[in-house]
Amino acid sequence: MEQDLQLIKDCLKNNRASQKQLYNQYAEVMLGVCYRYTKSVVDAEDVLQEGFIRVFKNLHQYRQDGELGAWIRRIMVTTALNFLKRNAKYQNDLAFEKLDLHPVTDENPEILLNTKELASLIQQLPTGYQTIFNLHAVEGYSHVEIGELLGITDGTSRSQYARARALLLTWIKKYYSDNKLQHYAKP
Amino acid sequence: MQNREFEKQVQGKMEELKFTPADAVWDKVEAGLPEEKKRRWLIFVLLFAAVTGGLLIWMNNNNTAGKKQPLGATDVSSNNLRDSGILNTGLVKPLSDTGFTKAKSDEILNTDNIDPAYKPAGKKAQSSALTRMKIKNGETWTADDDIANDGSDVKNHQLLRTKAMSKIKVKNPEQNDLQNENTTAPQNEVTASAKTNDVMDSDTASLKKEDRTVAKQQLEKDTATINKKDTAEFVKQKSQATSSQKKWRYGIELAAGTANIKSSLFDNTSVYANALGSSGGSTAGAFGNTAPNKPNSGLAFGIGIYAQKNINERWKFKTGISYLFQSYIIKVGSKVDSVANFSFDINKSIAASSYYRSGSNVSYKNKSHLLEIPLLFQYRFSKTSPFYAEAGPGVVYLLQSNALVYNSSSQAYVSDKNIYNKLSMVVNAGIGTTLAQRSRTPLTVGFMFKYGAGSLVKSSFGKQHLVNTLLYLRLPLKK
Repeated sequence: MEQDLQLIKDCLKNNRASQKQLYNQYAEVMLGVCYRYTKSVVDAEDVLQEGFIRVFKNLHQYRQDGELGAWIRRIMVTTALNFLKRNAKYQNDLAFEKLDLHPVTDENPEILLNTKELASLIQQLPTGYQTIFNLHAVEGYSHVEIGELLGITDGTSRSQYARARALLLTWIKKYYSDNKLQHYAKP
Repeated sequence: MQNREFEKQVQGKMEELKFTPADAVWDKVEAGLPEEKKRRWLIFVLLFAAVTGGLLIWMNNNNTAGKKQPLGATDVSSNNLRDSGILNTGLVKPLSDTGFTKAKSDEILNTDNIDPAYKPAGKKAQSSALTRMKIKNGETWTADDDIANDGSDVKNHQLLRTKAMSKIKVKNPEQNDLQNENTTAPQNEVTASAKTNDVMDSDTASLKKEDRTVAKQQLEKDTATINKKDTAEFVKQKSQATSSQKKWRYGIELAAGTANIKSSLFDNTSVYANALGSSGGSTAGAFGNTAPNKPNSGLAFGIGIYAQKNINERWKFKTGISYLFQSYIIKVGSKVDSVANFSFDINKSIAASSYYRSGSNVSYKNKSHLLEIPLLFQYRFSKTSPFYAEAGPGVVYLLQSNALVYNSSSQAYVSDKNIYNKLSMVVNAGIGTTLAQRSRTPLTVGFMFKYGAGSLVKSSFGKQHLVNTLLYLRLPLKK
């Protein structure tokens, strides 16, 4: 933590070596975050680049009362959402369809996929589902927060999430079946 | 209640998701960041060095425009001193009294080179005559013609010309678009389209009324908590800022400019004219009644560390410690390597092994090395103005000096370590401005006038008050 504080101080002095060090420290993890919200590594790198510029320009706002990694992650998520909104490729897909509230499934299968396989499946979800699934399941945002973040109601967020979850579970089952993996289901 | 086992597994897996970004990403990030501040510092330092360097070179050229004779190259016999009647006045004691030996004298008398340039017209014949002097011990010495040897090896100084070229690359990267973005819990992105509204209406209708009420209450509660926290944080930050403003700030100070001496602040007469010396005896000798020259300004520079503290929004107190180098130039006559005793008043006399005669053929550089502890009060013209004035006294300790004093009776310049005041006071006054005030390390540049309230030499040897005009640069180590 102290090392981080010193690093932040040096970055605030616009010391390029320290900025590079901070970038190296978090770039790999943050590219993973960006990747989950986009459809390709190239797009994820664009988000990462924009996100890190925002990190360095707003570093003076970091209050040092939480983990630096968590603060950077929030910036990356916000940057990714902005990227999706302004990028034509994602704009149409991001429009949230009118859906009935999907019944919540209690199915909690054990995930036998490795990290990249799972990330790949999440990435294949429609952008709206993908975004809400990431925000809720991975980042831990509440549906109210997601509603505010995306300009939708929390109900829409809930239904979108339920559908995303169901779709993902279907794909996971299919993946197991295709790869002849034994079933897993937890009670 | 939804079992979140699946979400926990996804979260765990996604935490491990890592990719190595391409090298080009950092290059793009770097391109989007403001230039390193170090470079800006360097520009200011180089600019300051160029300005002061140019000033000093120009000044140096002005001062060395006259003839300059290397010191020690113009040894002459002490005959001229005897000829001029100095020894007869009783002001300069006989050599035998000072323990001077004949062998030593012979050595000196054989080196009778003298630069004829210093000699006043019409006195040449008189000076060149062979002279015999009776010394107390009864021996008679003969000196050769002291103008036979043309010792003028005046070297003309070449004018130095320098060109300071600097490339100042000014970049003003846009920084204003991200400042106000809320990065923690974005609330400002309202993009609901008509389509989304339809979805919202539909979904809202399907929600239970209680859920909405609970959500609304929760939101109001959260907002109230955040507002309260923000207010408390603001008050805390404000108090921290106030206390940090009153802390000591440290930095480095560099200064360069000119130095000279005066007999007093508003007196334009030559400082050496006021130098004391026994008035008895004739000074009109072999060299005529030569008035002492006025000293010319020389190089001065200083380096030190400072500490300053805000007294209130406009006033600051500054102190520290600085090394100061002072130099000024006086035109003197030839150097005489001969032991002589110079009386300045009843109780003060100097036994010097060498001295300089009156004249203008040698540029002698008086150099002083000092340590100063300034006590300055700085007044900012307005709370937001970068301009300020400052003034205050300083305590100066003389480390070393070779400054000459003038003995009018013997028309000779002499130096001795016992003639200086080791401790004295100076008065400082100046103006300045702060550059890049909002930067974490704002630079300060300014002009400082320094006057030695105490004389550099003891009162028996005259009055030599240092006068400095300096340009300075202050580099704070931390804001």
